[in-house]
Amino acid sequence: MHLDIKNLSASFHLRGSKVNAVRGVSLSIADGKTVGIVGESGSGKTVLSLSFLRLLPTPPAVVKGNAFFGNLDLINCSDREIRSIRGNRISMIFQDPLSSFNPYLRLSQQLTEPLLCHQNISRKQALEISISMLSETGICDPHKKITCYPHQFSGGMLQRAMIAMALVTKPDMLIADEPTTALDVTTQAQILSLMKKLQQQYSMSIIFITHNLGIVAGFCDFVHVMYAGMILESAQTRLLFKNTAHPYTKALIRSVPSLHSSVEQLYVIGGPPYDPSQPLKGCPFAPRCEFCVPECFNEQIELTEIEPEHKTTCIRVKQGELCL
Amino acid sequence: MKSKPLLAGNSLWLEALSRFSHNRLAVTGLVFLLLMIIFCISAPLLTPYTYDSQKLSSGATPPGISHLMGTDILGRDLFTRLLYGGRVSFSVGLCATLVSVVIGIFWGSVAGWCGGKVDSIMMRIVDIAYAFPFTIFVIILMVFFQRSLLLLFLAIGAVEWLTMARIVRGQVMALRQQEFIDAAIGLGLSQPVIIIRHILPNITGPVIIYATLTVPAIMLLEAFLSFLGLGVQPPASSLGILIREGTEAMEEYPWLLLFPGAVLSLTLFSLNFIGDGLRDALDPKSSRE
Amino acid sequence: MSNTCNLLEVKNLSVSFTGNSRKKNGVKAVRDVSFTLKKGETLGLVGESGCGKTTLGRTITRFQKENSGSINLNGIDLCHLSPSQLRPLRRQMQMIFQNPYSSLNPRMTVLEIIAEPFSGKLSRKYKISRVTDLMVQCGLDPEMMRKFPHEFSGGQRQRIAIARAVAADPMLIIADEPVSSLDVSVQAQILNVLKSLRDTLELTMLFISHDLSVVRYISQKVAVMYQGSIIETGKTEDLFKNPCHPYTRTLLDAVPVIDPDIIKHKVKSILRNDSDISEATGCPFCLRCPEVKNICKSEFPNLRKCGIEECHFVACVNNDQ
Repeated sequence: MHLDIKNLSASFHLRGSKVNAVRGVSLSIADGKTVGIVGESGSGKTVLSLSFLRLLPTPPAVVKGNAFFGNLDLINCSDREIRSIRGNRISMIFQDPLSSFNPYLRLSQQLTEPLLCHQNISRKQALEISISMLSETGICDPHKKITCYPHQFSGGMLQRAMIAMALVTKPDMLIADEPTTALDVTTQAQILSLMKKLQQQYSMSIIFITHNLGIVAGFCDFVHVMYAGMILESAQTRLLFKNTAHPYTKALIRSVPSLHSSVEQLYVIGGPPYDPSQPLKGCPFAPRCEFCVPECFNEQIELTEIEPEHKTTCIRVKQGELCL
Repeated sequence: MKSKPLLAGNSLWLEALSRFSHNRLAVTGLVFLLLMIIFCISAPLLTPYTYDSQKLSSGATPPGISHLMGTDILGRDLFTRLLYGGRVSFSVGLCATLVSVVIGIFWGSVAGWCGGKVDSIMMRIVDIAYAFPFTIFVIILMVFFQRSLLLLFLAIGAVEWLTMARIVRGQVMALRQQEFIDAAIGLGLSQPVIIIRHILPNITGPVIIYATLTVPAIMLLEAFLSFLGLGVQPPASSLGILIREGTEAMEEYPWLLLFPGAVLSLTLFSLNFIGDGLRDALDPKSSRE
Repeated sequence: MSNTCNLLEVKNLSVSFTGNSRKKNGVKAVRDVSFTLKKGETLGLVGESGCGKTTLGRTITRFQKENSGSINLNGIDLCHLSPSQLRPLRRQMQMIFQNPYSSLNPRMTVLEIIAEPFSGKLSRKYKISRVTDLMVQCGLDPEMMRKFPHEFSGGQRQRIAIARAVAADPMLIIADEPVSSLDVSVQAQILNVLKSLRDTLELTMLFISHDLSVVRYISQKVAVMYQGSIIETGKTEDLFKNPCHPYTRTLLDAVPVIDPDIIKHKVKSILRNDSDISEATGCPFCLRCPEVKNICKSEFPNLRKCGIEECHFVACVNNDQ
């Protein structure tokens, strides 16, 4: 199912001050595709996913815009409708598998829960589906493992179990919020290839939220780079890394130490980090950008296509002053 | 260097002082409490009567010009009795709390810091002391020693520290896991220095809250002991005794309950405000103006 | 007598945790680890979580008792010291912790935190001037010295922790995953600070990390740990160009690379299974190794010289061919 987010913004009103976490984000995710959302902490990448699933506590948070999932606008539909989507058609997996499970319940109870909640099937059938899903995720001896408690698993195993829990209802879309950040590199590689395999098997789309550019390069079809609650660059993955346009994306890529060559000095993004409580005018990255010109602070920025499947907000790139 | 206001941001304590002084409720509470204590101390200057001078002929009189808060059934001036009673109650409440806080912090932080066998032995002692019937303990003390207020403080303090020790121990054990404690050990600091500089400032919040709850609890406990004949003896008075006497005469002479009750509740209010103010003042995270 | 060039000598160090209440016998966290560090050198210690790298660091800094082996810092044997003998030596080995949110006392100002390691009675004025220098060196604004840790971001807090460690003027710095909880751009800043401090102050550093690219950036020597043993060690360039142990190759393969054109060959090693932390005599990696042979299951591989490079050692029997 196609997800179309239009001009979504989320802000928090705390003690009289207003913090804009997401500012007018538009993106769309086609069937069976993997879309990466990259950004540093505070860039609003997690809030974005929480906001269109309506998982933000709404007294402090205010969410505006549209998010069409099929024909249903997730932002403006009834609570009942959104509940039938969450955990059923759209599932989520999180960074810390240990705190995402209830430590007092056996895996069997937690894995069958989405099925019993959304589908009209018996407990026994639900258990069978869960067990087969556990074995899909590469957990050996699932009949025995499903009766265990979460603390009896290692981090990698638990992340597999969480993926199994997210997929028992055969969702159309999986939102993975930093699913491998807490794992070792080898386990991370295994989890990623597992996700790829299951994605093809169930033909679902994946929104992959991460700060790790390396994962994005190998895993995603399309990437959105977020900063200060806005998308600064979106491109097909190969184009993003080959024809990097926005100075922020460039800076991010350059500040990662390389595995294959040694460098004397890492590139550092200077300037003050973005302050979400300040009002924004022009490009949010301008105060830290080495290519910035006075217009950057004044002009309203907008995602514009610079080549097929490649959009950026940087006005200097658009004007052709910075080469791709 | 840019010069800064003298009090702001020099150290935790100076900053706490400045933050506390900006907390209007807490300062009001402190001023009120201090005023009451000063009144009680200077009682002989404020009233022509003594706490036991009776005037049986007049009996209970309502508040008036000669007797600000009226008199009780025996014709004793209530204002005077309140001032003298306040002396007993405040000193019992504050001193016993101080005793319990000092013992509790010491005992709890040593147990929590050392852990292992030391911890289990120290905490078993606390458990045993908990199980010991308090009233019997006080009666035994009173039998063996002279009846004195000092002893009362000690007895009450000796019971109230137990909970404090448990609270402190739990906090200290949680703090030990923090990496800044490892960093302090890594600097080669001695254990007492680590406890005083790194542990104690971080447990002030719960300690202060519990201490402010202890003061009124002890004042009431003192009233209970006095009722049993183990505490303050008539004709001397305390807030607890006055409230009890007032309750008995509530229907005919309501002022006998009203004034001591008002003093006790105002004390509780101000103590709570002071406690909240102190907790916020000692927490650098609470917002700075 | 030990070689005077070596600042830190760790010999045959083993550490095991005695299992509490459960019947499990002690878990061997560190097995027979030996390495040396010269003054001004940085050794990167890599491995997956649970491989014993943190325990090794904590044993060297004496937060953890060893079972056997010796640790020698600048000619002093650290293993047989009484607590009172150890205390003045502790400041010679400073740790930088992973979590900058719990490694700073929330009730102390930055000035107090950084000035705490200074020894002796110093005037306030002198303290302030030294703290100012340290803060500048670590890329902090000295005007902030009277603020409390919660007013700083994660990266700034890590800079404060680094300044505190350097303030003690230590012989050895042990950095336990100092950048793994930070954002990429902040990570770059902290790594640069560590590198420049190391070069200007000639710091000797043990850099513990699970991130191979970070280790490659910061260290001159690398040791790869697996289940408590060092399975490969060598100069950074040699080890990354020519990894000899199958586990090292697995690790290198698993790191995602920022280049969509590099098609990663699949991670070959077999799924990590928690039940079989090998009690056997053989190679600890033999259960996951894609190149396992019969001899691997019976013979414990010792570190042997590998290839033509100097100081490149590997613990794998297959390497002999």
